[in-house]
Amino acid sequence: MIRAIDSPEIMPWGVVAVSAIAALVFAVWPLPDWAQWLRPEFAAVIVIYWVVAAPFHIGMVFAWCLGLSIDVLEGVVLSQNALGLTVLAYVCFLLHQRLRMFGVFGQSASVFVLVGIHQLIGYWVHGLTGGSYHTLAFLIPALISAIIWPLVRLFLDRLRL
Amino acid sequence: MLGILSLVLIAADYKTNLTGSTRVALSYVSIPFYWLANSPSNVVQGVDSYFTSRETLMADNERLHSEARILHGKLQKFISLTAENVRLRELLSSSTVLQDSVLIAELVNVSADPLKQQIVVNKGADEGVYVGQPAIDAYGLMGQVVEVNAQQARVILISDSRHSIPVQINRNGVRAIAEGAGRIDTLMLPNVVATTDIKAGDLLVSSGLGQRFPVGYPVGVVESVIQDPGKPFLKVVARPSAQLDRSRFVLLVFSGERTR
Repeated sequence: MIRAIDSPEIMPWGVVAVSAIAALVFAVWPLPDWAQWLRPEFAAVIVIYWVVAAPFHIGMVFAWCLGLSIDVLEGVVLSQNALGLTVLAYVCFLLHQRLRMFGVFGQSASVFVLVGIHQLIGYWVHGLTGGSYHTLAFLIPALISAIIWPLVRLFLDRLRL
Repeated sequence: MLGILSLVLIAADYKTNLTGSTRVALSYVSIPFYWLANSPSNVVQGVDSYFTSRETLMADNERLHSEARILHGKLQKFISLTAENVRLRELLSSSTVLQDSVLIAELVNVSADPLKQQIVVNKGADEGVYVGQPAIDAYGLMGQVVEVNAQQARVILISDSRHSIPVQINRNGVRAIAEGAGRIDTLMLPNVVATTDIKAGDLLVSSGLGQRFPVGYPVGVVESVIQDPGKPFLKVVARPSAQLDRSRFVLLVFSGERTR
């Protein structure tokens, strides 16, 4: 399935703002203890969506600001998520034509890899800034994000029309 | 270019305190997001408590009254013990320790990153909360305040992997340091020599060294002491006394100054 391509005049900034705020709210949504690792990375997902949908309007600055907001909300080292999301936005920009051509499973797999990269960068920064808890579970949010990707994509597509 | 800026910012935030005021300013923006994220559970709790039966409320009332009476009775003994302690300290010409006062704060947010154990509470600089202030719950030490804005404070828990607290074993006074391991139910004591008198079941209390935490609050209970014959140090694992994953109310302690 191919996502709709934006023309310059009808850029839906309202939907972008709503999706960014929703990502921030879901980042701090209280989850039960057993679900701590099961939180999908909404910020990464919407960065992927918007950079692929409108690569020449939404880019690294949007990702950086969103990442900084997530950092402040989560109380981590400033620009840990900003760095991850900026790298993510850059990679998506390079691949935006290819990502549009993939089918559902192809896009989900790509989302898994892309969000995995974002998680890995966050994990590296966490390790560099003094954290010492080692687990591979940091990839689980990437998996969950890939699973919910089709729903998010459908929802945002509908919201734009 | 943004990547370089990010790396610089990470280094600046980690190594220096330059970004402190920016973080505090930005943290005001996070207050509505926490409120929004908590609103469904707050609404459910509000509705639930509105519809509580009168019988339940009366039974709760009775139970709390009798608990308060029992605690008041125990407190009388504590007051006389404190006075005796002060007299004995004066006899020994050592410094007196003043009483601590506490401020109750409610949990507003738990850190979304499972690799970090941090919480946000709803009292801030307006109520006198300061950076470095210890936080306890009814069962033991929980952590200390790391960031404060006017209305909220961020508390790092003792189980966070970047936190250490000086402790001593209640039974024999042996000193150690309890580090967080990144898991909510575990504290590690590194660098405990193999000849140390420590065993499973020992209560660890704060030793007051480091001038950060008040003396004598329970920190944890030793769960296991493993001695590997080839290594000079024991592997000591402890469980925090405070209910780090369950407490909704946190007490912020204002320590009395040590006087001479």
